[in-house]
Amino acid sequence: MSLNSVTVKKLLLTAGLLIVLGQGLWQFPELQDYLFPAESVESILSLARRECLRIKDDLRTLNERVEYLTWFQAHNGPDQKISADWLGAFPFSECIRPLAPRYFWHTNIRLAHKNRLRVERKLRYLEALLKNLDTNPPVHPAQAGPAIPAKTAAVSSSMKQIKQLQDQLMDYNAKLMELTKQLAWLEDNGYKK
Amino acid sequence: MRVDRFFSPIIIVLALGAFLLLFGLDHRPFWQDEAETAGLAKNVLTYGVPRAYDGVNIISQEQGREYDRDFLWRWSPWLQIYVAAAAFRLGGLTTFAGRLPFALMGLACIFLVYQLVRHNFGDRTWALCAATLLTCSVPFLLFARQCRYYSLGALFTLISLYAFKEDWQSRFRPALLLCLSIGLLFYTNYLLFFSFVMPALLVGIWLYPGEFPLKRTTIITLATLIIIVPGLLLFRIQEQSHIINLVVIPNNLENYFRDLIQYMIPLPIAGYLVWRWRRFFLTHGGIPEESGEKFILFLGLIILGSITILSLAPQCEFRYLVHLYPLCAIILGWVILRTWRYHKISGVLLAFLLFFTNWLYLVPMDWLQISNRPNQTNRWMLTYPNLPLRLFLTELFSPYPDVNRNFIRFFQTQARPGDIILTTYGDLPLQFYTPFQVIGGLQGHISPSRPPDWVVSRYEIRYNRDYQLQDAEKYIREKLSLATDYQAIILPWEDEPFGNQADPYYHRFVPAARPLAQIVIYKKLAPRQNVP
Repeated sequence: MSLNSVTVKKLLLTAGLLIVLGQGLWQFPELQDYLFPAESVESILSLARRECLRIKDDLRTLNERVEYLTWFQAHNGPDQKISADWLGAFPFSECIRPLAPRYFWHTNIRLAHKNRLRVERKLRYLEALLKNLDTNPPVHPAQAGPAIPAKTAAVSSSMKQIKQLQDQLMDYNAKLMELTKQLAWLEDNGYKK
Repeated sequence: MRVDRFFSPIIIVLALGAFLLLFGLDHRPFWQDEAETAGLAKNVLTYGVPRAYDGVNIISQEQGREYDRDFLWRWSPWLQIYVAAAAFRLGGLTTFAGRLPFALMGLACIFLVYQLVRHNFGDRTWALCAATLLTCSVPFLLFARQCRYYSLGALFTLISLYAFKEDWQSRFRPALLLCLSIGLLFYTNYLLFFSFVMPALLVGIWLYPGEFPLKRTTIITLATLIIIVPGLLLFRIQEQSHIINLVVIPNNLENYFRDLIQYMIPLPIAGYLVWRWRRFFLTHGGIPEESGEKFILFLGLIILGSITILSLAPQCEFRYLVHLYPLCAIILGWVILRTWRYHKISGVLLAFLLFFTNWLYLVPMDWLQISNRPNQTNRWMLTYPNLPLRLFLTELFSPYPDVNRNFIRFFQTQARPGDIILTTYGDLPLQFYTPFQVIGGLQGHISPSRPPDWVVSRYEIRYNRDYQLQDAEKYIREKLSLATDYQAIILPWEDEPFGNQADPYYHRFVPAARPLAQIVIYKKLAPRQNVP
């Protein structure tokens, strides 16, 4: 019985290592390029889509934090009770707010700026990435022959996706600019007390 | 007999290490951080002390906070600067000379890892395995090839461990070695000192309580304090401590643990060790009796403690973990050997994965979707499953179009004596390699005597610690009119963010297939009339 369990453990260990080995080989860049030459564009687009989702999340968090700071500025009276509404969104900040309001204020301004910067950097990166794809349209090596039209269905589909993502980024940029203005206003008007 | 000794495995490993550490050491110029050390070292040759101002340029990456009124450098410890200065004195002001002593210290680390294990535990295979792992660790090689404190920190960490395992309780030499190595670690980088020494002392007392005689421990502690006190006063640690922010600590902790499992100890192995020592972690009992395993636990706890302390510092950078690489190599060597003794096939597979690939690090992280890939990474970087040594050798054997080299060459051929160059980043390499006045970067306030003759607005926008635009960026946007007063020169090379940055998240071995942005340099349309 114990011999069996040892054998099973050894088998599991070998299998685990083999899976990692197989997965590593599969993800090897040259192998991926050889097997799926056209997918590098697709992988860039999927990365852009993922990053767009992250930007959306980050913008939502930034928006919430700006609203939180605006609310704090309006309610920074002597009666400092913990707000159940904000506790869910920012538990740490809400707990320290009644104890150390000045620290709370500066920390949240700082975190909001950090968040803003992350979004700004991601937007700038994605804009350049998509512009790059846009100006160097993807062409599958196998489709480069004279008999095949230059813009195949796959390429035009990619171009459409690029356009959609670029529009999305423009929306995010507008939203970010608006939030940046609000944050600057909050910072300029400072901590009241 | 002699032939056997000549071809002994450790000699072969050291020869491989020497090749990997020294070949093409100057194939890329210093990047910003290295150029800071090199620039200060250059000034040491003139003034005898590290001065941030040489009469033409100011060396600063912290908006001028690093120096006194008399420009004496008081931000970071001086040992690395003097090591580089000594190398420049002997080998001239070259990239190779600046990096050589640090690369040799990297080589010494490989030997010391071997010696530490073989001498204390008598296991030559484990010692060889650990030394080979360190030799094949591309992040360690990248950092050790920099003109910066990284290998120096790793060396003093190892020497202190070596001395600790000697009979320092009764013999003078190991005690002196222990004291000096810890003291010099402070002068290498005090963040490494605090993060290593405190956990090492506490874990040592915990795991080896009988090996800390009160009198000798007190003497060594006092002697070390005497060594570091001048540095405590000189390097403005008090002033820097005000930037500690409690809110960033959880985030730093998360980042450091992610760094650890992405590049130093793979998640499955970390998990195995935690499971193996679960009794110890849960009940504080069950300390391994076997000396080798006990030492591995000692090293593991030092790493955990170091990360915890490092997370208190406001800047969370992978570079602060580099001195722990030799410790990780010793741990991984032990795990490989243990696996081999348990099951030969698995041992071979594990050794292959750890020596030649980064798959055991990244594949499990990808499964859990916790791998960290900053913007601008590509599949030919260490952030993706790869054969790291192959990438490393590819870079060494096929010249890389380094961004700093391209700027240096451009200005060496195009700028005139007395020209002022304003750049938003990469000012320090230009200061080191060219004779011009270079302003901007992260230096802080800008007030040039006249509008700059050249402006480099780098693609990557730089912000200060308060997340505001750096002064150089602001100056270009608010005070200059690039469109009317300057002519844009677009160069055919990529404007990548750093150059020869060693950080595995950012280091590029192969140029990007689709460069995001090209280098743009602005030349003043009406050049100065009088050239001094």
